[in-house]
Amino acid sequence: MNPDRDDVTRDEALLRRWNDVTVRAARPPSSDLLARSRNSRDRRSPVVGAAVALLAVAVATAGVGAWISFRNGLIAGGSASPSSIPAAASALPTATESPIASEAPTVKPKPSAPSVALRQNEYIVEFHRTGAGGWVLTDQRLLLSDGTSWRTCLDRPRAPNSNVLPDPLRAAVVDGASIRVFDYASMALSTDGCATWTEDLLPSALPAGPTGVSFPSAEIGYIAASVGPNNVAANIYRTADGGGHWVAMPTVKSATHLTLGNLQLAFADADHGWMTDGTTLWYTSNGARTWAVTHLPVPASVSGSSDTIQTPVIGPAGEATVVAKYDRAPGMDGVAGQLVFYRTADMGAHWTAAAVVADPGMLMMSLVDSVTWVIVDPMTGTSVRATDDGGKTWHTTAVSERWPFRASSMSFADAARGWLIVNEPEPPCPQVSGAYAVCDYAFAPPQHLVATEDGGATWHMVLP
Amino acid sequence: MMPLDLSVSKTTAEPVRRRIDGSATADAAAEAAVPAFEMAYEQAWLPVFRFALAWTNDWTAAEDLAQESFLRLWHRRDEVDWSEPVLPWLLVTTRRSATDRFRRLRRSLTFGAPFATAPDSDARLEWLDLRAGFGRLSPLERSALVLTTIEDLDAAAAGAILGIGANAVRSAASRGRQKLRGAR
Repeated sequence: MNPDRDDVTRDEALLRRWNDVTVRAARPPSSDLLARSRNSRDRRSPVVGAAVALLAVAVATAGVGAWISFRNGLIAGGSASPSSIPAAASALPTATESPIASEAPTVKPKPSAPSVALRQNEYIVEFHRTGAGGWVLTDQRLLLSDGTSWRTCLDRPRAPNSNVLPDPLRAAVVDGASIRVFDYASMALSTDGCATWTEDLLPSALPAGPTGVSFPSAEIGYIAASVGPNNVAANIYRTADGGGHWVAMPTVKSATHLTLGNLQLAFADADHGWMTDGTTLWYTSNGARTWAVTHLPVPASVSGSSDTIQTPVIGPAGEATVVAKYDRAPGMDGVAGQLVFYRTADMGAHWTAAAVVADPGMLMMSLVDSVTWVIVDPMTGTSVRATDDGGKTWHTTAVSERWPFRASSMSFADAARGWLIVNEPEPPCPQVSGAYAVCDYAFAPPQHLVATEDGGATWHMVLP
Repeated sequence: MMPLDLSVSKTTAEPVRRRIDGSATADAAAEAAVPAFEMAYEQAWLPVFRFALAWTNDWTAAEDLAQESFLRLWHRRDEVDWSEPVLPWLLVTTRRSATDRFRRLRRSLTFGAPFATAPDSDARLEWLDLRAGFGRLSPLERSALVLTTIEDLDAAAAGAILGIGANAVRSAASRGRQKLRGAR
């Protein structure tokens, strides 16, 4: 017998058995379900009390006592209403509803009390500190901050006459009052600072929407995503009318014939731009008609192989900065290596290594512009280093009031003002007797946004 | 295999709009929604349970998730447009509940007595034989495979439920099938 045929038979047989067995599952009477609904209301208090106890244990176990003082100072700022969420989970306790905070000690008021909070299961897709405030794109909303309060610029609407949840938001471009937000299938555009929106469909060849978006001008824009079997090709589209129509540009194949990562775009003007999937940097000088792989010079002091490449940050006069990590285990996270900060002043014709920084493994960075960079080691969290002269000199700020949990990424508007995303740890898995595993779930730990106004010395919550 | 009709829970009851539409008060809407809910529960419980089982690979958790999804539907009964199918909403809600961050904590806080499960105890025991084989797959791979092969949804429809694109569904289902081939 053909061994392949045997394999097919085996998986088909398993699927058939799965079908035959599960179709016999007994549906409980609806009266039981509704009785349980009533019971749940009657017994809400002890349940909440038990939840408080368990959550407190989880928090204490995770060693994040600092979080209590953080959160306590934030609850007063209010929380997002769940009423607009078509999703489930509104009955579940949210982070801001957690009564833990009521048991926490009082902390000093923070400069900007948060006026909104992340919803349950809402996750941050993209965020930029642009000055006193900035913007945050989640899978559901675009939130804008002026540094003192937040407002919801766009909330994912529920389609009329439909019970299907909308697609998650994928990317945003915020340029003053001109705002573009992309989901799987469309681009929403507001030119009046969120007051009114128009919507244009995206090319259907990008079934999950773009991962990379760049609009060097109000009219010219590019979007990109890796599609196709195993994601080995980058599909790029160009618009010349602000997103009304998209033209497919030549596909770019993976340089390594391996799966492309999340494609990111950074265009300096209508013709010149870069694209990266996190490991390869491509450059175009003719509006995405052709792309060439950029080979960055490796300084003699650097050992190992090229591992990751950050999305370039572009200045107004053709200068740009990109950071590459070199280590001895490309493809592995958390490996010690070296970060090389590259600069170009001629739109990518020549790249020079401006600075080399040792990376213990998880170093985070924010490229503010072509000369201002900030780096933090989230594993220690003891200091923040910054340069405003392209890496010639670095100044270190000791962290006196640390952020809670684990920092994952950051964005600085300048050397002093920055945002940081922190992720809560996973709660401990309850030990339930019996044969059934209870931890076999995909799980996304809750996120929060914290801010510094003093170069990283102190941090406070801005988006719980 | 049993094809999954996503319109299965579209009831024939008179649509009850939200109170903001002025067509019904909240109480009246809730009252009128009872038969529609009952019909949806009868028709959609099995697809919801099976999807939850595919995601969790845990019979008890799947029962719990299905129950939770229908409870959410019940609590929102006066908001739901019952002239539209509710099964897609239920499936997405189930997936979201399964990934909920407090899910694990809530499991140990389950209130009330468990549902009687005697009628399907044989099926539950038989399923234990399959559990290890399907346990080699990730929740996404199991769900993509079950939705596209057993429930007979196309990749786009499955992707709408799973929150991913059609290509990602195909890829996950393919990986799941390959892992099943290696299962003993």
